[in-house]
Amino acid sequence: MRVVVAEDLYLLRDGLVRLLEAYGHEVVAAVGDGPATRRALAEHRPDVAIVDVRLPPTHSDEGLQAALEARREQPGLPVLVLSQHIEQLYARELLADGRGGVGYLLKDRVFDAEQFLDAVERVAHGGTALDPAVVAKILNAGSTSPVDALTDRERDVIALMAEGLSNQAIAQRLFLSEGAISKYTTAIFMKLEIAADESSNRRVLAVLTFLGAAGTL
Amino acid sequence: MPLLPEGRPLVVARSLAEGLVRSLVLLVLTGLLPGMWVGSAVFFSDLIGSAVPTAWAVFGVAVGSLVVFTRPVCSAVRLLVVRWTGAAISDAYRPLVPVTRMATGYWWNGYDYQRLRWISACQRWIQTRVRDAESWRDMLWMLIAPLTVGVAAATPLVLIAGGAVALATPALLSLPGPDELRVSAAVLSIGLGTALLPVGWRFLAPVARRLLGPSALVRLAIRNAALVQVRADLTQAQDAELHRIERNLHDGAQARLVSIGLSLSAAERLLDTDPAEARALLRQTREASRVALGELRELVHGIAPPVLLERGLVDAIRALALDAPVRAVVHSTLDHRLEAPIESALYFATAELVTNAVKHSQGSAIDIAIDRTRVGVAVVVTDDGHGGARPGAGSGLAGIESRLNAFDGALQIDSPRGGPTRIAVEVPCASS
Repeated sequence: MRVVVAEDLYLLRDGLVRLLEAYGHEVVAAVGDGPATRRALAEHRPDVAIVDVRLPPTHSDEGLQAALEARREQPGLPVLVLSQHIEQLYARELLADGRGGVGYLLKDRVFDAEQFLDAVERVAHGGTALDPAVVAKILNAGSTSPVDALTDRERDVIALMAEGLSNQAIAQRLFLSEGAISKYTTAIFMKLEIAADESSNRRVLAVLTFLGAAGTL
Repeated sequence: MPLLPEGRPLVVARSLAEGLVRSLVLLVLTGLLPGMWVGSAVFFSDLIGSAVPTAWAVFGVAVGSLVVFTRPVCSAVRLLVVRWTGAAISDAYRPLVPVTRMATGYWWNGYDYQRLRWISACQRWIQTRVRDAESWRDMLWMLIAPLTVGVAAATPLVLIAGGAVALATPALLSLPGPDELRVSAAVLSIGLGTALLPVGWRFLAPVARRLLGPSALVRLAIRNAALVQVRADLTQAQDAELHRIERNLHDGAQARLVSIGLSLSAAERLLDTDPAEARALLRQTREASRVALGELRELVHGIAPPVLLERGLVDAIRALALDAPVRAVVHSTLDHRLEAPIESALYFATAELVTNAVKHSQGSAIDIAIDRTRVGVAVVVTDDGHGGARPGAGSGLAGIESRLNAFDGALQIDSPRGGPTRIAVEVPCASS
């Protein structure tokens, strides 16, 4: 895969590039600030971009803005956003267009190379990869949403779905059969009123509803 | 204001009666001294006859009456302004020092030592009326008030009385011209006086505020004392915060990094002899580094929330609302960033109010409004809980208030028992 890496800390950027190359991916650009990120994303149109939320020169959420902008210009451009802290607010903004191909992870997740690369690939293929910390925050928050109608088991399933796991992976995690999981996912789609439509990604829509983002942004 | 058929005239009558009583009271209060002086002038010129001694006697009466009556009259006026308009005017007299006996046997009254107690008390009485800067301003009021407040209050009374007298005893005035003109002039005068009745006394408040409130110097002194207090609080708070961070790093991240280093060196030793054990140890170490990062993240969030830095106040409060364990909605009309210290102060105050609402109110929804006000920016947090929030009682409201003080901010609590609770924090800042 062709990857763009945007990260201002040299050590982490270098580590990411080496990790990606070790797993056989091609890093087409490794940049360290906001304007360079915008240029790299527009120019290289990578298979997936790995972007730090906070970048120079402003040290505000420049990386996130660059990623959102690039996705507006190239709809569905897969972006995996990394950050030192996790906010539901940012997760909603990233997922708001409902197209998938979005990841949002704590930088710590890079420690586990296999899981991290797994997430990178899921995002590159149009899936989602939300950090378990966001999922936990959503489950603790008090906002009322259609998710309240789900059973505890279904909530477990949708939480793992939000992290981006496949039915098979969810089945392994919950010690259930894959058939049982697909029954749960069907029930979830029914309760959240997500129609079987070839053009949209039902899993992404379910995660969006889970975030409560559909109506609020 | 009742709008019943008979309500309107009742209201008018009441405001006329009120105007009449208040005008009369003001007339007495402001006319007391001038009346006394004129009276004494007439009395002494009759008694003494020649001009110079009379002038001296009148001067003596004027000074004496000023010293004796100024303070009680001014205190009465302050009370009346509070009762009539609700606006409090604080006096700024020097605090009264009790007459106390010193070890030397002399009596101290705050100004001087006296051998006898009653002399000391008398001296204190005179000094407080003559030496206190605020007493001088009070005397200025005694001179200016008759010409301003007194005249304004007297005008409607004089118009009405004059008109009434003219109507009752037309022969007394024996003015030239036709009767009809005189009658209509008298009626006009009464009408004008009646119309002015509810207005005349209102000159009291502005004049009193200017002359009877604390002087600019005293206001500065009060402000200065408040600033000294704020500075002391700030220094203390800053120190406590630094200690908290130090302790947190020392017991948290620092300790974990030490243990990570130890595990790594153990793993290094085990690498040749027991690779499996070494691998297990490395996995543990990775977990430890994750925990350390998590702790650092929490610490950083407590010092300065990253969203606040990246997005500013409104989005930071939105993020806060999203994470709240009850439903929280944020409205805002604020469209630009504020200065960083103000954003930070408002954010932490809001965070604490939301925590309070969640912990104490037992409500199910919180509403947060962030808006520009006349003087700055206000955040209003409303919950639908059971109310009864007040400073103290472990609510942390006093703490919020003292931290807002550094920004001249204000905390406004409206929390009747039974709810809902509405708490506003406002910090003045220049609009840009």
